[in-house]
Amino acid sequence: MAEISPTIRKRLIECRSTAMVGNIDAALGVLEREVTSDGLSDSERLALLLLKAELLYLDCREREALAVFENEIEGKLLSISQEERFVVGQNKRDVIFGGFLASQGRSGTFLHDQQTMAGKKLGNAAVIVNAYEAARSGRHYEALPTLWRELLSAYQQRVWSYYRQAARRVAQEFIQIGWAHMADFYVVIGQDTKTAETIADQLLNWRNVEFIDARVNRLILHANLKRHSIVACGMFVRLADAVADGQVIPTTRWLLQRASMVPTGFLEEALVKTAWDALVSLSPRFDSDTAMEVVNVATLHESWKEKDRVREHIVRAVDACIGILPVDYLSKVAEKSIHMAKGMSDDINLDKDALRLFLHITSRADAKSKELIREALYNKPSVNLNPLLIVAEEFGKTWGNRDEAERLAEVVARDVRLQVQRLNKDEEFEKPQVSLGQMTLTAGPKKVGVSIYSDLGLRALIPHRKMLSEDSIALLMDSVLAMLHEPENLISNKVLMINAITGLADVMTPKLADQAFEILEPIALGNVTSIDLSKAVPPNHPLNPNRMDFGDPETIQGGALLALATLETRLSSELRDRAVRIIEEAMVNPHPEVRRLAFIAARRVEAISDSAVITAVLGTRDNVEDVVIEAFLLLGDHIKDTPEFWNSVVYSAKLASQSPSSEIRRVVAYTTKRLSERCKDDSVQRQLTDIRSLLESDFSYSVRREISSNSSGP
Amino acid sequence: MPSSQFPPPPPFEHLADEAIRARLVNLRESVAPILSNNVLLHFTDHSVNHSDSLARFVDDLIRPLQCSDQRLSPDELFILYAACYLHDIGMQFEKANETQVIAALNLITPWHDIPLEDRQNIIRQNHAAISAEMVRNSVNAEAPIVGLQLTGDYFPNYVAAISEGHTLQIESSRYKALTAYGPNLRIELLSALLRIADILDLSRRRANRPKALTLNLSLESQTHWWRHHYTEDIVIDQNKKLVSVWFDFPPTRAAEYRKVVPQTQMPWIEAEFQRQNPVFHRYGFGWSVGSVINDRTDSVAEQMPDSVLAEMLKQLYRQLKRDEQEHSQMVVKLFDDAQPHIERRISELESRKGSMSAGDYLREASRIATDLREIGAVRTAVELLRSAYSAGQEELSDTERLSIAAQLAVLTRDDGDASRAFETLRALVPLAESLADGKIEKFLFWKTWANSLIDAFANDLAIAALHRAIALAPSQQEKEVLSVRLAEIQFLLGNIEGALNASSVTVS
Repeated sequence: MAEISPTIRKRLIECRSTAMVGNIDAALGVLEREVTSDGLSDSERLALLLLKAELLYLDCREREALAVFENEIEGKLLSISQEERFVVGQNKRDVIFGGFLASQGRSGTFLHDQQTMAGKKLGNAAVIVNAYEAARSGRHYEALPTLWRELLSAYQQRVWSYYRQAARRVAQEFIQIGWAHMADFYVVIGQDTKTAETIADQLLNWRNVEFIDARVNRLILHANLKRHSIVACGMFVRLADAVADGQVIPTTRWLLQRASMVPTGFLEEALVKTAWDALVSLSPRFDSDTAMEVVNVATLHESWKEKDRVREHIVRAVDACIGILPVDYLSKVAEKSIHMAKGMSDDINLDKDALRLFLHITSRADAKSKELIREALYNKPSVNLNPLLIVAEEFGKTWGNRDEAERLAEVVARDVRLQVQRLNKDEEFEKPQVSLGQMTLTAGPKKVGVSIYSDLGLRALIPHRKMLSEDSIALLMDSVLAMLHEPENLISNKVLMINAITGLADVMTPKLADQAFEILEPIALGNVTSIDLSKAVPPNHPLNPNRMDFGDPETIQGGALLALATLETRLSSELRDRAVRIIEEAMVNPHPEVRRLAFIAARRVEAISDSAVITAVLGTRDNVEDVVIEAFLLLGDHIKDTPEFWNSVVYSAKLASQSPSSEIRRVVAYTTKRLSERCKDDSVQRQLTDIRSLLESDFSYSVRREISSNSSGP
Repeated sequence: MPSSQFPPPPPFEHLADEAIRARLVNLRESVAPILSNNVLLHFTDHSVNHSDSLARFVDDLIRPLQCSDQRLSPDELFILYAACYLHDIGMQFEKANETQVIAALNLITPWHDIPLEDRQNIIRQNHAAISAEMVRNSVNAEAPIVGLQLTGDYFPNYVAAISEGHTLQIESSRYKALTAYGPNLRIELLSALLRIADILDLSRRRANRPKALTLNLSLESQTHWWRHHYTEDIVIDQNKKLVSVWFDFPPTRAAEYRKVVPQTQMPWIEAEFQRQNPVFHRYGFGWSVGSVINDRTDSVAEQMPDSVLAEMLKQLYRQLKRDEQEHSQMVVKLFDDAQPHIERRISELESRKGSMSAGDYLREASRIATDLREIGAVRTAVELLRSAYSAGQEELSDTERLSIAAQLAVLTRDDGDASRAFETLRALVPLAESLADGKIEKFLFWKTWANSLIDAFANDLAIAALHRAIALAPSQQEKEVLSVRLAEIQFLLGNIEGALNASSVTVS
C-alpha cells in the first residue's frame, strides 16, 4: 500500500475514534473537509474516503456508503495502485452484501478471481495456523502476539472484512487465555455477537463487579456505531443482572436511544430488536418511573402500531414492565395495546407475545381494562382451534357449551391417531388438522407415515377438561396412550402425548390412570421406543449438515416421570408406590436430564422416602447446574429433620452460595429462606442466616432480589 | 502453369544489376507454382504474394542501410531476395516424407498412416529445414524440386542457411552456425532482415475471408487468421525509423478487441525487433516498432466469433503466466548466481576470524548482512549476524552495539521471528538509557524497541517506549510518525480516549 502521511493517518484515527464515541456526523464532516484539501495524493484521498464509507457502513447507512464508492472513489482516483483497487473492491462488496443492496452482478466473483490471479490473500494463513497450533499447545505467549500482529496488519491494509476477522481472532484468543475482560473491544470492532456472549458469560462467572462496571462503561462509550451497538446490546442482554445499580438508568437510556429507532434495513432491525431484548433483561432492575419511560417509548414506536418483525420484541419489553408499573397506569397500557387484540381470534399464527402481555395486564389491571381486553380478544362467538381457547379461562371467558367441547374432543381424539399411519404403498397419508410436516418411510409394499404433530387441539381441550364427559376423556386418553405406545412414533410427538396425560390427570378415573401407568412405566424406566431414523436421516451424524431435532429419549423418560408424579394421587395404592419408587430411582440416573426431571417429579408427589431426601442433598453437589437447581428446590419442599440432614444441607448451601452461576445462587437464596422457616436448630439457623447475609450483597441483582422478596418460588 | 497467372514481381528497388534481377525474376517464376500448392490449407496465405510482400518490406527496411557505406552488396541482396521466395517452400512440399528432415524424426507411424492434420503440423513445424533441404537438393539437380536447377551464382548454401534459420531460436548453436559470416557476406544481417520482413507480413491481405469460410480451421489457426484480419497495414516511416502496426476493429467490438488483439500480436513482433536490432545497430541502422489503433467508424472489419476471442484471452493468460514464472525463476536465479559471491565473502571473513577481533568480525558481518538483506537473503543474514553478535557485541562501543542489535532485531523480525527480535533488544534497554539523549543511536534503539514491544503485545511497555522514542526523535517528522503510531496502537488496544489524545486534535 502507498505511504500515507502522518497527518492523514492521524486524521483517520481521530475520525474513527470520534465516530465510535458517538459523534459520527462530526467525524464525517472532518473527513469531507479533509478530502478536498490541496496537496493530497490519490492514495491519501482514498484512505479518507474509505474511512468515510466505513463509518457510514458501520452506522448501517449502506446506501450512503455505496455512494461514496460509486461517486467519490471509482473513476476519480486514477493513480491508486492495483492493490488499493482490490481494497476498494473488497470493501464495496462488504457494503453491498452487508446492506442487502442490489446485486453487484459478477463483480464480486471477478474481484475474487483477480485477487487469486494476483496472489493476493487476506491475512497470512500460515501465520494464523501457527498461532492456533501454538494456542492449542498452550503456547499462548506466541499465539496472542501473532494474532495481534495480524490485527495491526489488517488495520494497515484497510480491508474491513479482514480487520473484522483479525479482531475476532484476537478476542477469541483472549477468551482462551482467560482474559475475557480484555476482549470486549475486539468483539465490538469484530462485530462478533457470538463471542460477545461468551465474554459476557465469563464475566458473570468471575463475579468481579469492577470488571463488569468497566465493560458496561466502555460499551456505552465506544459502541455507538450501529453495527457495534448490536454487539453491545447482545452483551447487555446477558450482563443485565450484573449491571451495577448506578448504571441501570444510563444503560437503559443508551438502550432506549437504539430501541426507539425506526429501522430502515436488516441490520438496523437487528439492532432495534436486540436493544429491546436487552431492555427485557434489564427490566427487573427498573423502578416504576423507568418502566413507564420504557413503556412510553415502546408504545410510541412505529412498530407498535403494525405487526412486524420488531413488534414482538417491543411487546416483550412492555410485558416485562407490567409487574413494575403502577396499577392505574395499566389501563393506559391496555388502551395503547388493544389494537393488537383485534382480529387475534381469526389469526392462526396469533401473536403469542401480545397474548401473554394481555394475560399479565389482566392479572393486575382493573375490571374495566380486563373487560376491554376480553371483549377485544373474544369478539367472535366461536374461536375454534386457536391458542385463544387455551387461555380463555384466564381472561374470564367461558367457552361455548359442553356439546361443542365433546365434539371437539371427538375430532381431536381422531386427529391424535393420525400421527402415525401404516399404509399400503399406494395409500395417501391423511394430514392431521395441524401438522408441522410429515415423513414417510417405505419398506417393501408397506409404508409408515409419521406427522410432526402439533398438539394445539389437545392444549385447547385441557383447560376445558372439566366440561368433558368421562367417555370423552376416555376417548382422548385411548388415542393419546396409543400414540405414546406406538413404536413408530417420533419422540417429539410422544412428548406431546405425555404433556396431554399430565394435563388430563386430574379428570382421569383411577382405571384410566392405571392404564396410563402401564404405558408410562416402561418409558419412565428408560425403555423408549421410537421410529428409527438412523438410516433415513441420521440426525446426529457429524457429517450431516441438516440437523433435525426430533427429541431425545432422555426427555421422554423424564417426561414420563413427571406424568407419573402428576397421576400419583389417582393411581391404585400398589401402582402409586411403584410410581414413587421409579421417580426416586431416577434421581440417580446417569443422564442429567433424567435426574433433573426426576427431581422436579419428586417435588410433585406427596411424600418421598428419607433416602430420596438424602439423594436430593447429594444432588445439590451434582456437576450439572440444572440438576443442582432442582435438587435445592426439592429440598425446599421435602426435608428430613435430623442433624445429619441439616448439616449436609447447610454445607451444600454454603458451597452453592459461592457458585459462579447466578441461577444456583438465586435458588440457594430461595431454599435457605424456606429452610429457615422449618429449622428449629439455633446453630443451623445461624449458619443459614450467614448464607443469606452473604447472598444479600451478591453480585447479581436477581439473587439479591430473591433473598429480599417474599415470593413463593424463584 | 503460365507465369501470367501470378502478379508482376516487386521492384527489388535496391538491385541495380539487371542480370541479377533477371536471375531473381526467373527464380520467382519457377517457385511461384510450388508456393501456390497450398498444402497447409488452414494457414494464412503463403503463396508468392507473401514472398513478394517480404521483398517489399526488405526494400523498405534496408533503405537507410543502402544509403550508408554499410549497404548490402548485390550478392547479399540476391541471397536475401531469393530467401524471400524460398524460405517457406518447404511448407508446400507434399512429399515431405521423402526428405532427410522428416526421416531424421524417426516417426513410428508410417507417414501416410498419420492423420492429415498431424502430417500438416509436422510439415509446419519443420518447414524451414525442409525448405533448406529442398534448396540444397536442387543444386545442379536434374529434376530440381524447387522448380529450377540452382547453380553457384544462386548462392544456394546461403539461401538455404537463412531459410532454415528463419524459425530457429537465435540463441541456438544451429542458428549461430547457419548465420556465420561468408566471404563478404553478412549472413547474420541477411537472416535478421528476412525474419523481420517475415514477421511483418501479417496484414489483412493474408487473411482471405471467402477462403476462410470454406475451411474447417482449428481455434488456434482461427486466432492467427483473425489477428491478420484486424491488422490493417504495416507502415514503415523512414524519417522516424518507426514500424507501425495498424489495427482496425469493428466499431461495435472495438473497445473489447483493442485490449486483446494487439496484445496477442505485438509481443511477437516486438520480441523479434528486440532480437534483431542489435544486429542492425552493428551496421548503423535500426527500427522501433509500435502499434496504432485506427478508430474508424466506417471500418469493414468483421466480428470474430466469441470462441476465437476466448482462445486469444487464453493465449494471453498462458503467456502472462509463463512470464510470471520466468520472472520468479529469474529472482531465484539471481540469488543462485549470487551464492558464490556470498559464500566467498563469508568464507573470506571466516578465514580471517582468527586474526581479527570478535568486534571487527561483527562489524564486517554486519556490513555483509546489510548487503545480503538487500538481495533477499534474509535468513542467511540473520544466521551470520546472530552468531557474530553473540561473540563480538561486548567489544563494540555502546553506540555500535545498539545499532547492530537494532539491525539484528529488524532482520530477525523480517525473518518472521518477532519474539527473538524482542529478546535481542530487551537486554540492551539499560545500555540505551545510559546514552546521552542527543545520540541518534539511542533514538533508533528506542524506536526499534518500541516496535518490538508492539509486536510482542507488551502494551504498557510499548506505549511507554513510543513516548520515549517521540521524546528522543531528532526531527519533527520523526515525532509525527511515531505519534501517529502511538495513536493507532492506543486505538487498537481499545483505548479510544488515549487514541484521541495521541492524535491531539479535537474534533468538535
